Amino acid sequence: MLEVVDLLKTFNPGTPNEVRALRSVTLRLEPSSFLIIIGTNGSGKSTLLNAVAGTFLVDTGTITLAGQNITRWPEHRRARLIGRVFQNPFSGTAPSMSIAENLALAARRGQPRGFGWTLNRRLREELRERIRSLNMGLENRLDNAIGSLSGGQRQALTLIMASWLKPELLLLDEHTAALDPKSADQVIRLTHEIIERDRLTTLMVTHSMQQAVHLGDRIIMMHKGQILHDLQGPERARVRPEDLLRRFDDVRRREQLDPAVAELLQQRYV
Amino acid sequence: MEITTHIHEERCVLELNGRLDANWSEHVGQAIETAIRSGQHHLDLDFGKIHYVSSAGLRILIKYFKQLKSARGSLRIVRPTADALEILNLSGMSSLLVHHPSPTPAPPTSPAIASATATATAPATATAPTPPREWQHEGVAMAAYELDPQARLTLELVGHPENFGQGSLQAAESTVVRCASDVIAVGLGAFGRHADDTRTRFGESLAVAGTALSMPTDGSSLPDYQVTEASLVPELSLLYGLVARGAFRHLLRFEAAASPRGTLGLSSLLNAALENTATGAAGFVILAESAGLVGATLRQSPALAGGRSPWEFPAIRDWLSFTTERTDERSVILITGFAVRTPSPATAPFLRPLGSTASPLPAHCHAAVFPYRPLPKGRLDLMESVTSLLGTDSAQTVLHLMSDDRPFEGLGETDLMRGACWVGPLDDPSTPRAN
Ligand SMILES: Nc1ncnc2c1ncn2[C@@H]1O[C@H](COP(=O)(O)OP(=O)(O)OP(=O)(O)O)[C@@H](O)[C@H]1O
Ligand SMILES: [Mg+2]
Repeated sequence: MLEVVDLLKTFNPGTPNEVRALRSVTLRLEPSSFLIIIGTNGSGKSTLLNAVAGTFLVDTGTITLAGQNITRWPEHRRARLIGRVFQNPFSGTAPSMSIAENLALAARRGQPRGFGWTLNRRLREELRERIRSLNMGLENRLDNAIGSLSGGQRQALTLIMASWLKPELLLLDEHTAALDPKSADQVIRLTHEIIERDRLTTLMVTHSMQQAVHLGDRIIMMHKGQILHDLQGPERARVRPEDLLRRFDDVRRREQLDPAVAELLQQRYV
Repeated sequence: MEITTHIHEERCVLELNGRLDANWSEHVGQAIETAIRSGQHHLDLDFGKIHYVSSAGLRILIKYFKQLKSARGSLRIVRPTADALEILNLSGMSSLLVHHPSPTPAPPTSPAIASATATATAPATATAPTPPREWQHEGVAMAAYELDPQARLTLELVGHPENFGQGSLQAAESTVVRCASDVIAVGLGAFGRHADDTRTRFGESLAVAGTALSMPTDGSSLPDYQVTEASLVPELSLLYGLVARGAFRHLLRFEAAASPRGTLGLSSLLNAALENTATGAAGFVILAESAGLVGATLRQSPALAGGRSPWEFPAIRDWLSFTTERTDERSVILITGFAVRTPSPATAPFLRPLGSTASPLPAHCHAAVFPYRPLPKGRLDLMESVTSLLGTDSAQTVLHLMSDDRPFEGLGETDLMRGACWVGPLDDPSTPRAN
């Protein structure tokens, strides 16, 4: 279970570039729930994921994961509990290392280094099996450098790595946004499969309303560092992509309602 | 709406809790569909906690009733509340659907949605066909059919729109308007008879041809609607609004494709209609392809204002949503409205200037927006058109149409491509007779 209470994060405070990226975000996530986060650019989606992952420390608020208060934990310590996949297929993996080495790294996440970078045979077989099931033809390329793979293949591998140790929490930040539609579909299918199978508690950011509606069991919409809508239960069950688009439209309209429009409405609305 | 499913004596029981309206009927339909797909062909819908069923809900019930019947299955409603039973009785559907026979025998009618009242006082079916008068209005091809030279509409004012600005509208002071086939209405309304039921839902509403539509402000994303069904006549609770009874005198057809602008402004159409019917006050209904809508929709029920004025900035953002760009191009819109060149002091608060600042036309128009579909040409029947529109599509929104004449960024007014406008001269009892 993830519990985030009253998170505040301001970047560059006191400067002209001050951004209040999270303004009192509170969120309670039951174990095995799969939360989709949508919102306009700059609404704070990535900042929320980064805050949970420990990329930086929040100004105020608390983050509790699996019963532990991790608010002040450094990022590498949280990494034992949290798996992440980013938008960029070139982050999250070491491009010059082989697939096998990268996977070995993932398998040892959170453990002290110096154990050696090679895989023992049992683990290697297990990985090969896992990769074969991807149907991407990667099982015979375990010793190729990761840098030689396509974006889709890398995201699939990164996803496997991030979820290998069945983390308490899986964070996905637009992890298919940089992929062509077919690869994106493949990675989404894999995402669904892994999360279902391991019942992983997941936060996934996406700009695709189709993904938002077809994956996950709850949707939050962020705006200006706050949670504007939280759709769960029956409300979530019946939501359609166009309903979500309408909510985006609505946010925009709200912002464009300036004093001149207010005056117009007073004259023309009855 | 909450749905729980269990099996009881070899029937699949869906317990429903909530309002079976446009907003939830699809969801209920999906639950039924899921049950059917899992092999359940005998379904009981437990209506013990359903107090309201709109036409959208009835449509879903009939759809699956028929589907299951043809699969040698069955769909039954069990334990209906008195409210739900009344609606089912009046709509003539209880004998088909309700399991425990109701005490009041239902009128025997076909279950087909909205087919029962297509005659009666339908305004557009009165006279023998005469060729239309044809002319050009601002380059737009116009044709006017005379439907009934004697036809008139009589206006009734409901409620006090002035109270909107004071935030003092009260659900308890709303008026229930029966929307029979000879009624047109615009106003802020909600479906439901009791203040406790309607208070949180008042929004832009309209009625025409025995059909009423209302945009709920309780967070629902779809307008709800009621169509006349056997003895069930739509009832709209109006906080305030304009209601007229009677018939239309003319049907105007317009086609703007070949005109210089390519579109026809709403106020321009209304002016043409007033001129054609040689009247200074009219009620009208327009069915048209839109070329961009400009208007506003309530976000919250004004009956919840509690004395706070919705006009204050920035609080107004919580009350109204304005189409900050021209929306819904190429949709089909159903407009109901009133235009009065020189309104009486009593009527004036119900109207707002439409069209250019130079020659404004006091009017009040609400539009229901539907997905695009081509409209038949020639002499259209209003009742038939409305019935067929609601029989196939659901309205996406209802809004109050307005002109935006702000300098520079003004959006102008609602523009139309082509369509039909039914117009009838309006008697306003609050106006002292001039001639
Ligand atoms: N490290 C940082 N330093 C300064 N400002 C930042 C930093 N990270 C994010 N921001 C700012 O915080 C706000 C929220 O950014 P964030 O990346 O969380 O948005 P997002 O919702 O993920 O948007 P997108 O959809 O574009 O990914 C933005 O205004 C952004 O510029
Ligand atoms: Mg981001």
